[in-house]
Amino acid sequence: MVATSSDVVSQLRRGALEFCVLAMLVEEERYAFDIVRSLSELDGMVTAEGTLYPLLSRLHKDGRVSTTWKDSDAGPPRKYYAITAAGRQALAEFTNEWRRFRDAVESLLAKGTT
Amino acid sequence: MTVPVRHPEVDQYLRALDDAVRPLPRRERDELVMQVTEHIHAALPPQPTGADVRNVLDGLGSPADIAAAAGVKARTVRRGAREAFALVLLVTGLPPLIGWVVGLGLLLWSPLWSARQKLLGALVWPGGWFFAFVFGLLLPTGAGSTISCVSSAGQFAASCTTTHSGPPAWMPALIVAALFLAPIFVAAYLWREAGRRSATYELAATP
Repeated sequence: MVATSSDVVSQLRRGALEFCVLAMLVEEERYAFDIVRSLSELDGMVTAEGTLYPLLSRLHKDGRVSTTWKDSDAGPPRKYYAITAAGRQALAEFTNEWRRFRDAVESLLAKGTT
Repeated sequence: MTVPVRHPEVDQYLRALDDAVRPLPRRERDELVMQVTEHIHAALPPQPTGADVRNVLDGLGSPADIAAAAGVKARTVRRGAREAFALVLLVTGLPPLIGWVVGLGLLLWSPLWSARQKLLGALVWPGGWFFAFVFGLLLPTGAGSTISCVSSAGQFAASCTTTHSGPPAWMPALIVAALFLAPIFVAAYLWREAGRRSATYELAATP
């Protein structure tokens, strides 16, 4: 069976999402709700916010992020996520691969539409 | 501390999530449910309306989606022997007492019915036909009428003689018919609902 474009896009999104989360943590550490909300504000990035929590746990288990509890001004303490050295390395590798892939696809699609 | 939002739909959602992630290790499961709970509390305004709650829950995605993201393979639960036995035992109530109690256990065990449907199944009628039958025998038929029954202990066969002088004869007949027909209708409804629910579970198995 030939995949529809929405299947392909959702596969791509699923694969790229964890690296997007890592990229969000490069500048500063953030807490889960903040990460989830920022991602879902980007059009087409997240369809079910709840699925990001298992993703954060997986990143933590794989050592790509570390967590620390911090008190917040209002409400209970928050768990902050920070990118680790392993996370930065994984992100750098993905960024390279992604750009190569994107350029190749772009050049082919450009031929197809002219 | 934030004031925990108590809302029936939120409670229902969190219970469904807890249920969906049951196969995960205890710690992982508790953490995930806690994070989603905090998300809901953080996302809702202090006095949430029904629409606020739905928007937040819709944004989260279904418990099955979250469970799938956590690596839980969706269970496929189909309507089967458990559901059939549950309904037959609940309807007939046979053998006396035990039958209905076992039927109730199966009803509660099956994931294919909602809490409300389980309550319905339990309440129409406690004891099933057997109790309906006993109740039918004891029906007051109004002043001036007497029922005398002879029944042998431990059996539900009994012979009764009724002397009428009060209410119309169709009254007890109607009540007895309701007592016997209601469980049939309820069982038919629950059987259909279980079938529908198993289909939903199957869809969830192929994301």
